[in-house]
Amino acid sequence: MISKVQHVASVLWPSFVLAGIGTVVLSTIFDPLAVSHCLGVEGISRTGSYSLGFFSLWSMNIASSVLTLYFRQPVHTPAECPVRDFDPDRG
Amino acid sequence: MSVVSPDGKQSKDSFYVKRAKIYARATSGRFARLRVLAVLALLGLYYILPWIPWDNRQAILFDLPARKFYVFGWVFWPQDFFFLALLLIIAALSLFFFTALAGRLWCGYACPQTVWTETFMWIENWVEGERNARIKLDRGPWTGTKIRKKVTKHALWFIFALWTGFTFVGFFTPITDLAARLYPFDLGPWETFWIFFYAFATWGNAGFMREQVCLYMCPYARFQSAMFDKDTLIISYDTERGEPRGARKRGTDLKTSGLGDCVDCTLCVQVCPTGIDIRNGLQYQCIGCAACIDVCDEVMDKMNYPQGLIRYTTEHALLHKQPHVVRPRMMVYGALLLALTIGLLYAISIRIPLQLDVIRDRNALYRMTDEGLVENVYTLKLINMDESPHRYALAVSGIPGLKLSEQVGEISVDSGEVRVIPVRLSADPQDLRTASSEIHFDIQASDAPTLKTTTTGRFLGPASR
Ligand code: SF4
Ligand code: SF4
Repeated sequence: MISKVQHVASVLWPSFVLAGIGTVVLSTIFDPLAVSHCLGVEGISRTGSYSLGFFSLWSMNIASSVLTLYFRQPVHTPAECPVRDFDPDRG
Repeated sequence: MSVVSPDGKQSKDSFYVKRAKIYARATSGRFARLRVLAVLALLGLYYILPWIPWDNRQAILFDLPARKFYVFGWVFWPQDFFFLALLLIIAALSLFFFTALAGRLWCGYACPQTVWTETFMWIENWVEGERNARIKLDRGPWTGTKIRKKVTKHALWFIFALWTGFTFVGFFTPITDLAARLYPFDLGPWETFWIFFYAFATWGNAGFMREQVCLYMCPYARFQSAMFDKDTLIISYDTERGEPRGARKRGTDLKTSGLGDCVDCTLCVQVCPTGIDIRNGLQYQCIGCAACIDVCDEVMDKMNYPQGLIRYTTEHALLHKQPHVVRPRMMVYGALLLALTIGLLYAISIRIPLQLDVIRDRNALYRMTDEGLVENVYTLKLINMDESPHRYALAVSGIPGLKLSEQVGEISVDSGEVRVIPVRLSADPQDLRTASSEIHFDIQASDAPTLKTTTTGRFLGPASR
């Protein structure tokens, strides 16, 4: 059994951590402000662009974690089919 | 919503286990004092550090708007990411080292989760009273007293959390300036947002989630057992000595009653912040807080038994085997740790606070000048990461006769500034051996001989011969 907190945490938390790491790594390579301008976001402060970057990463990661949980549902169990006496091959 | 539980069964309701709220009893004793000390030291560091000045600025400031990180006398740039990576590796290795040596010291005394939870529990204890009083309060009806106590607790938690969030943002925005803008209120939208976001996280994690963070969210808790061996210091109940457990009157003769030293008072379970019974053996839920040692020692004192029925020990010691502190694992971790730390300090000490980026003009590969020379166009980005302004001279090499089409002269760059310099280089096609030759841009500060760097680039031209 899993607790509700564990369920929610298993989606929100890993995505949060990876979004944090992602923000640090990406922002050392690209200036978030420059990226925002490239995307046509005007009138945003640098702090704002860092925050937006972080939240975009976080939401993407959340989406991925949710999909993982969703796809864990078993969808197909082969029907059970016992062997019978009647066999058309043997006529 | 229908979801699937780990055993693969599908259900629509109530497949979640209900979390039993844990009411940890407060302890006093050696290890409790040690933890109070650790909490005060660490929280002190956290809340005071951003207020310490250094050369007219904040000693520790992660200046996101300017993309510079100040750590006392050092200034780090995004380009210095390598140092951060190295530092993180060192931190991870030290965690391995100390875990192998002494178990979950980190969890019990230093983890922010423990430290803030501890503070929140002090507040809770102070407002709502001891364990039994808290249980009674929660079970009882909503009287005026109960409402007053709950409101007081949450108000105190909230103020403390807000202060925590404010300090957090103060590591990224100069904190004195931030404080000055509190009243009259003039904080930017993002500053306000992050203060509340961090406050909310603190309040949730330290007030409600508590041990669940250790159980469900902490990766270290899951893999720490891989770092343990039979000589790692763990907190353990001495089964041999304690069993058979049982209640007894003080002064009962152990021999005739056939009992062990454990009086089965369950105090060790009551104090446990993660709600486990240490007498069932080593469990991954145990964060090594030593609260059960403190409380059991008290019981042993009252019973006139020797202390240490629950104690710091090792598996080998419990089996009466020779314990080893120095063992291959420790030596490997230790040597790696030492090497990396020396490496980091060395790398920082020889770091040249100067960077030159070379970007080739993307529009044209090369151009022939009227004099019949091949010309390439570049944009240079010169970053002075030093604390003082400098003047620099540029030289190019790599192809015989390679020269700057126009002299750029001395380039002066202020501390922490980036200068963009367009340059054109020309060379005689006779001297080009290949269509793309490697060339070097050498930059040298005229006022500091050690301040120099070289960046390589490519020079394109017609392939000759
Ligand atoms: S506190 Fe000590 S004596 Fe009491 S139940 Fe725990 S182990 Fe036994
Ligand atoms: S078992 Fe003891 S040391 Fe471990 S978490 Fe509980 S009280 Fe702390």
